Amino acid sequence: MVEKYRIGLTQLKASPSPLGGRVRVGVKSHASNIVPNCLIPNRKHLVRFWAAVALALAVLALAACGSAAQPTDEAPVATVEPATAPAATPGSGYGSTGAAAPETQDNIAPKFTLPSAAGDFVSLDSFAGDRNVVLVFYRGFW
Amino acid sequence: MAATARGYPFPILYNKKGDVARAYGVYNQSAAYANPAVFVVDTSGSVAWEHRASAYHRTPLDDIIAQLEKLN
Repeated sequence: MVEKYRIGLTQLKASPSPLGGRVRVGVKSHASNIVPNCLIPNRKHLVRFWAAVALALAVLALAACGSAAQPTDEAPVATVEPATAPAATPGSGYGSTGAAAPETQDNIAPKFTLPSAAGDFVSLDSFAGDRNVVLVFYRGFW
Repeated sequence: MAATARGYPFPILYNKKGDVARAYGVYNQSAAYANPAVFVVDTSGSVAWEHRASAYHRTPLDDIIAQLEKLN
């Protein structure tokens, strides 16, 4: 546990901070509950864990479209289509604030299929035409 | 939308390789994790809004809700 928090602190220090170097470490004592034990036995594995991206898809039922339609064509493999990567756009880096009109060309969200905590696979495509999606990148702490 | 094991009403996804974060341009290569960010994707699959939070600042929930309301 101690080692784990130390690593978190190191990473926070390495990040650019608008707070002038002040480091706030958000330690969740129950964090281990959400981390499979197999992922935190040592430093190496721990770093790997934080390297992983925790994606939370908050799907809000705001699109009053059909409710029962349940697309089920996901391949059981995590894939990302690299073709539409708005990512590399200059000026869209870390620290930029909310923009009504994203800088990306076509604004198409990169598609993905990833394993979920529930044990199934979730793909962004499965919400198309049905739900608006709030995609949250969360790195697992803070 | 089925609840996850911990009862959250939204799926929590795991992207060990970070490739999705890279695709969205929020991957911190040196630190090897995703920077916090929020994207609102509309029903057509387009990014309607995005917020790449500054370090140690979260995206205000009200901002996200406001964007969602614009979509309806």
